Amino acid sequence: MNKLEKEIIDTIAEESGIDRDEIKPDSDLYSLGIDSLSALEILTVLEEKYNIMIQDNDLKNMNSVMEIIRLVSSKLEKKQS
Amino acid sequence: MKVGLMALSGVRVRNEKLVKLGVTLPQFVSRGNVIAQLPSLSLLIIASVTPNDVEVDYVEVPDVSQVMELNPSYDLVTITSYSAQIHEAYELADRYRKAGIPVIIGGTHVIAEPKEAKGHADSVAIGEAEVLWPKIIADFKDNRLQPFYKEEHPATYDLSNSPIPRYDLLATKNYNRITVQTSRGCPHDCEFCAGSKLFGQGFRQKPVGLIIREIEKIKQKWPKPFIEFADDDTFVDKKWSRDFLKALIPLKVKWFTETDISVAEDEGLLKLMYQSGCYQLLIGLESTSKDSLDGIDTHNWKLKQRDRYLDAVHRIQSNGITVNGCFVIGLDGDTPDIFKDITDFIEKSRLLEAQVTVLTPYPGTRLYRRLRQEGRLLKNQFWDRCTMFDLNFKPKNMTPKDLEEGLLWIFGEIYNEKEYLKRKRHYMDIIKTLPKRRK
Repeated sequence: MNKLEKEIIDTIAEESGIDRDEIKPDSDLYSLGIDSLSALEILTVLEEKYNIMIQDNDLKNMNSVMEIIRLVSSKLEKKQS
Repeated sequence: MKVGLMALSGVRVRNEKLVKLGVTLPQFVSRGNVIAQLPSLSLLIIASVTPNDVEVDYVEVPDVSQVMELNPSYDLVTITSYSAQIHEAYELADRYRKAGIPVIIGGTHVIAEPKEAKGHADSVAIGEAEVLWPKIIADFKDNRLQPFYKEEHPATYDLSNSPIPRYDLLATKNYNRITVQTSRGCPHDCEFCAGSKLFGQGFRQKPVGLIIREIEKIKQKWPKPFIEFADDDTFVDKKWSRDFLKALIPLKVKWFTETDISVAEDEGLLKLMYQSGCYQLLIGLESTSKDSLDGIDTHNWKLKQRDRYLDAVHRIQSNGITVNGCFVIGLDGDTPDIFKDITDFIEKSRLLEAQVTVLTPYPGTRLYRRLRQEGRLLKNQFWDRCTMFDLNFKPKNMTPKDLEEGLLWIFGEIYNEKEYLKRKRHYMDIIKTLPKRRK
């Protein structure tokens, strides 16, 4: 797990109140008990933390921890390029 | 002695075009899934008033055709169902009775149609479980089960005596949302309402302390629960509401409930809701048309709120609480313009979620009686079509075809992914402006 993945999982744990150890990159948000509105809160925190802009279309299929990691990662890559 | 407690679960839709369209509409599917996965609170209450020497088994039946084998260990079966699944409930009841196991049947549909239900059950329960069930069980043990058990004074059971529902019967992993009831009834006497009227007129609330104890019990099993308050209108009494929300804050739960638009007038209450973990309010706006709202409830309360709808939705959502606005199609004032009017309102108000359903004359309602008298019901005993998505009567100012086509059109407009994602993004922009919730 790289530094970014760890940070995102830490944020998800902090925002959802779920034990850090329960959250894996391949975890499904719904199975973790994170509903769609809570997922939006988490994305808002990540948007501010990494100073990225999440668009309407990016919110499509945001169902797993890995999809959040990929989204933030791709936004950061675009920002740096 | 062992009793099988069974609920017909899940959402039903008969209109094939809608079924086909529905699976491609993410928002339509998501609320349907949530409803389908809620536990049956009435069975958990029945279990809680069952004597300790009687074993209970909680069973949800999403599809009766998939019930291949009956459970022979039951001495008695009780079944609850809404109108849309009542034929399935009767089928299940018939099978158990054929196997020699007596059946009790209850729920909103059989309150309206007790004689029909009696044809499929040994006894019919007409009223609230806390009042009727102890007597039914005692009579069953004494081998003197009565054909009908009717609550003598409906809607008078004191909710401060309510037992804590048997949440322990639920399999932890099967539920993401747990239902808790804070009140019964609704002060708004809407013509179409079945749920809050069939159990008797009047509005009753549980004491705050009792609800908190229920939630604490839930937290023993689900440490981070999402609570769905199974009420018709939670925040009728604003003083009670403030006391309740203050007591809820330390519990750190997320919650959803149904209420009316009057909460928008109380900024302090909205702030308490957000702080105590409210994510969504489901509000019956019913219509955007004044002609359609006219006469919907006895005091025309909803008509009087109409001009405040836009501002009220904005106020609630600005406080970080999303609104699921509910609209009914087919009201007597509706013309074919209603579909576009509601779509425009949803877009303008930026409601995070919207629920558009077809006016449904549930048996036992004032609406059902009026439409029957006016000869406008399309057929008799259309119970399996009481889905809120199927048309069962002749609309006044449009043809059935206009209504069904309009419904498909509006679903395509409001439930498509592009619009839903836009509304989700709007919610993110709102919560950026708010203090963080306590986790």
